[in-house]
Amino acid sequence: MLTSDDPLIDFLNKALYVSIIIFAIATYALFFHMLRLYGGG
Amino acid sequence: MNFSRVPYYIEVAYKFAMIVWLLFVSYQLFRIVFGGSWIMDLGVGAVFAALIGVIVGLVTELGKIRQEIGSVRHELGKEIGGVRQEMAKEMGGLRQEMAKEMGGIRQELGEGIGSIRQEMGNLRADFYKALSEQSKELHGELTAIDKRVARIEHKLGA
Repeated sequence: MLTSDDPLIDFLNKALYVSIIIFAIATYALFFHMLRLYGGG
Repeated sequence: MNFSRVPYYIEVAYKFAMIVWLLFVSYQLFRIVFGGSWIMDLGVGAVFAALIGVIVGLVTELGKIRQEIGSVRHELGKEIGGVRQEMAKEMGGLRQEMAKEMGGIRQELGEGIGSIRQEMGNLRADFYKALSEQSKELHGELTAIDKRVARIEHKLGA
């Protein structure tokens, strides 16, 4: 799925994969940021 | 998402927009977590815009190259078609020549066979003629012998 015969689609697939990982890291960071600000009940 | 049923440019646009959106939202999230300033926003925006520009430029170039390849392929196809046509013509001519040659050989062969058959017929006719003459002669001789035998029997009997 990540590799394609078409070079452009191949590049876009890989870039999308990297973007999703970056987004996941950002979400993870925001979650702990919120926990630090408002957490600790 | 399955892209096998959508046009090529839709797939490209969808993935490109998805990447841009994900990176933008990620930047916003990082900015909330780690903080930032308007100058940093400007810098990141500029880098991002430059990156998008480079990617779009590359894609356009790729499209041009693809188009070039297509036209070359088209030209090549034309050339190949012409050569194939020439070859077919040449082959047709050769085939015709061969057929002519074969026709001539067949005719000669037929003539030869005909003359041999005629010769055979003549020989057969001669043979039967000779045979009938021979049998006639034999018949005459046999009749003479019969007559002589009858005469001798008559003499003996008398």
